[in-house]
Amino acid sequence: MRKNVDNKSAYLMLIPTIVLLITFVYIPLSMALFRSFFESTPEGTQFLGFQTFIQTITNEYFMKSIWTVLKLSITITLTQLVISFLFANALVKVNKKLSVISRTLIYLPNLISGIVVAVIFTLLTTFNGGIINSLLESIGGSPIAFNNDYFWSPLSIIIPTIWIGFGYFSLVMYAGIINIPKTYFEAAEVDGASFLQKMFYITIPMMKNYFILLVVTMIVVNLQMFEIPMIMTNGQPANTTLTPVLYLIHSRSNGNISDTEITTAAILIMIIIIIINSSIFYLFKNKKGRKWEM
Amino acid sequence: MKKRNKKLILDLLVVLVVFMIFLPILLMIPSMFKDKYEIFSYPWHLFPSNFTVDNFSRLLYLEYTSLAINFFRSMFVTIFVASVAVVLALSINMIAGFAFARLRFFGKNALWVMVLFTMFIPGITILITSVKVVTALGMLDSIWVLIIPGLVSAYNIFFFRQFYLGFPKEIDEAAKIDGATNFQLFRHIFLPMSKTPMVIIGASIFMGYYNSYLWPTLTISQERKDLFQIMYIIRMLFNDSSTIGYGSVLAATFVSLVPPLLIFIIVQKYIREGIALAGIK
Amino acid sequence: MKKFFLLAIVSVLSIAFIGCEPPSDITTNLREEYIEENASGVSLWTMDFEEWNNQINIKQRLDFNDIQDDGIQLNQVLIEMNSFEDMIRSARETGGVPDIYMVSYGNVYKEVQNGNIIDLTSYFDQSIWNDLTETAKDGVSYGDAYYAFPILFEPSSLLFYRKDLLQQYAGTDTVPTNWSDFLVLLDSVKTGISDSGDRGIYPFDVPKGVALGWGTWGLQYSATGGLAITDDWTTSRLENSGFSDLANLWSTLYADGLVPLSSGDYTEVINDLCMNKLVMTTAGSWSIATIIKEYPDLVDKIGVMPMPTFDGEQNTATATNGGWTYVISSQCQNVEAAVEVIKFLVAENTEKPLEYFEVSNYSKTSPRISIQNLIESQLGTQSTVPIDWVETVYSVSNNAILEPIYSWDISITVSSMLENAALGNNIDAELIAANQSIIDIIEEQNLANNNPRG
Repeated sequence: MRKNVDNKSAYLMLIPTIVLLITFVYIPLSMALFRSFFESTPEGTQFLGFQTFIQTITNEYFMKSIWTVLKLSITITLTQLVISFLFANALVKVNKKLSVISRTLIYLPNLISGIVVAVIFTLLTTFNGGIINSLLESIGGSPIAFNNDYFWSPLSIIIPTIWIGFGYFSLVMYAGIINIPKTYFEAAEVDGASFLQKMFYITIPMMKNYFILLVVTMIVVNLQMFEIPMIMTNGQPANTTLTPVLYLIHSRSNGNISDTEITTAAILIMIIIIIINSSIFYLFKNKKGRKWEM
Repeated sequence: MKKRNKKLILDLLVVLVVFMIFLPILLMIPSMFKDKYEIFSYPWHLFPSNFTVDNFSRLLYLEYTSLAINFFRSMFVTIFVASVAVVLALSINMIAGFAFARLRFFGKNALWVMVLFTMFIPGITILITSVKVVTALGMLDSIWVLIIPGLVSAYNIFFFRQFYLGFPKEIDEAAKIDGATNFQLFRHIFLPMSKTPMVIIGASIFMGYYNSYLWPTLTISQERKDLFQIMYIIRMLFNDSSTIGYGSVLAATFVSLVPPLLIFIIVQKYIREGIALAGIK
Repeated sequence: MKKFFLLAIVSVLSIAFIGCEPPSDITTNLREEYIEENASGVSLWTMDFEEWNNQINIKQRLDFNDIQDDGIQLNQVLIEMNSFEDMIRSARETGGVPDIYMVSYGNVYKEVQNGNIIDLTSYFDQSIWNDLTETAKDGVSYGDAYYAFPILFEPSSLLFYRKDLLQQYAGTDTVPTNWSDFLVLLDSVKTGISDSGDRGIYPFDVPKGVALGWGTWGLQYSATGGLAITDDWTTSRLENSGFSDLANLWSTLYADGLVPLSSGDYTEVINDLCMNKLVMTTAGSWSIATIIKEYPDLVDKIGVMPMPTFDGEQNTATATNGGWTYVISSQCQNVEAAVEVIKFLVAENTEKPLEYFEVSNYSKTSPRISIQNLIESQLGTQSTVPIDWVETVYSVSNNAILEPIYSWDISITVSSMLENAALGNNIDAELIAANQSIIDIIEEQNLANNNPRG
């Protein structure tokens, strides 16, 4: 059979995609890379080498924000995986009708934006008069500063973030569990396997690809999070909940660091995402994992 | 007997979890009718003691010079932008997914890598330079700057490609024998089969545009208040909440939840199927 | 079924759209704008402040455009505060930077350093510059040149207190001027509150979050006789015992529950005082306008005084003179026209600035001596603003220091130290760490001996 028979129509079909990707992704990316290595002044262009990168890496606030977001992302992703997996297992077992209704309803938060979610949660977490503190006080507890406390501030970012993704995670997990051939479980039951044994020897290994998919998506999304932190804590207390993107947005609006440094910092975020994702693929690579590549 | 009890407990647990998920939204509803003195006052009552709809009527005309707009109108504009984007983005990404899945052409691998690599580029990395690009193209302060730059998404192309890969080769061959061109093949055979992924991806594109905050704030200035997107307006209201009262912010938020709710009603039939499709990945 | 839903969406939305067509833009409702043919345009970006503030800014723009045959058309854009710097940066790169824009006193020097603005000295008569107060001159001049024209000053921290609530909870409405007596008063207010069983009300509030960085400059000055670094920018001053006093004060305020652990934006904190959530609070002078415009019934019940100090001396700097200036961009094509605009709005006549301060309920002070004198003579004839409030604002403003122009990182370091102290960390350790951070920042950013005001 002849190869490449469809050249003409394929290119026609891909023109919009290619043009848009080049204009709105690759050109801006090249400009960003250029900016982080060169300095353009009216007198001419000067090669800076890794000077801006070194400056960025030694920027205490930025590096601190990277650790912050890594800690938040890992907590969110792991918690999300565990509770959604458990919930998906429950969904498989419960009453059919209940399962259908629940699976429909829990998807809703996934459609809501971070800003809106944070606005909704602020009603609960406001210090003076928020619903949680009002209830706490009426049972004699002392109010909690959800956005100004080393322990509660991260939580008031983590919980709304999990709230958004929980339904989607559970549904993907559910799809994964029901896709496992029944015969596997039947064979295991014949061998007298317990519920936990089935979970660890059949369900979890069979769902490896689902876990990878979810972890990778979550990491890209969470490393860039800023909407919920911006409204829930805005970095408080003492910048311990400042995420990199929020830091860059703040810096740009208070003119604290130069645009070059902001761009370089954003490129570092990209490098971190690439490194983390590649290592996840590498670690979990299996023979079937080829489908992730070309 | 024991097993039945266990199952009942599990049922109750699931009901409880679903209820907990909806609790924040449910709690918000009565609070929208409280005035600014009541909303954060002690002791907390579920229902307002001074029932007021001011929080909603205020949205009809936000009395700020900087935001002298009707929230509902802005919502309409936001929905319009998102709808146009859905139509355009679906056409572009579907046909690209089709080409990558079913056609053989020169440079396919290279182009595919080029598409996939964009998954790894965070928005923030190219944010500032993208603003420069759209400025150079003269798109600032126009409706196009809200729509065009985000149309292509590697995730969506990937999704459609996976979907189209799932069909047997024979379909194409039969059509080709009948003399169909590739466009006709897509239009008459694959497009009609794509309803589920179209609904699922269409909904996610819609919500992506509808919920976008950062990009519109950087590309739409005060000179085009009529193009303000509602997430930006909600953020502005939030900043001003101690003056106008948190109830108004909640009211705006609640109104903004109506489109997601409608989308949700439309797509809910397809969600399970769609998630299963996503699972193919 | 699906068609039904789609139909429902479309109809609901079209009803919402048609039924709620908003009245035309409020700015055009104000008055018809006179458009001069063939005039050269001058663009002006102003901050989006409180609504009354925007209204008067727009009115004055219309006034300017009413002048016929001056060949200048003023185009004004209101920019949201949080994105102002962002917008300016983008505009500068793409060539759309406005001819005139607002810069705070603290940022004028940064604009000079980056070559973004022009030297204004020669564009205004010497008599105009001579009309500025010494503080104002210091705020806008570097070397022998003036780079910005000051619009107003706003003391960043004053003490606002509710006389009625103090009476109710502590049986007094006199507020001590030194911190130790003030803390005693706070304690008795707190006891009064808990005895009464009222909830959701706190004795006092202080700036938090980002505002803690700039809202405490005045406090730092009154506690230590200086700011976080020495005037020649060579080293940190955090070893000064005043900083330890300040950190201890913060720790007491939080640990004893005298202030809410968390509150809204500092610039809006006055709403909490007016909504019976606070008995007293630190707030900027702009809050006066908010009280008069939003809570007129409370005017008689509120007192305003300078912030307490550690030694009780009120005739010293207890706040910074924050505020705004107009600058002309170095990309401006028609500087003469831009200068005319600045002259009209703030620099030359007295009518427009006076109108502005009147509308602002004298919650801001004028940087021009002539206007200050006019306001003084005018005060007796108005009755909306209690005269003692205005006197307090002017006395605090006259004693106040200018906003520092050193790196913002230094201010964040101090505010983080205070936040950590407030949350119960070891104060000495926090002070040592912050001291070291500041020394590092001075080293990294090469600040030593580079204070342009020094």
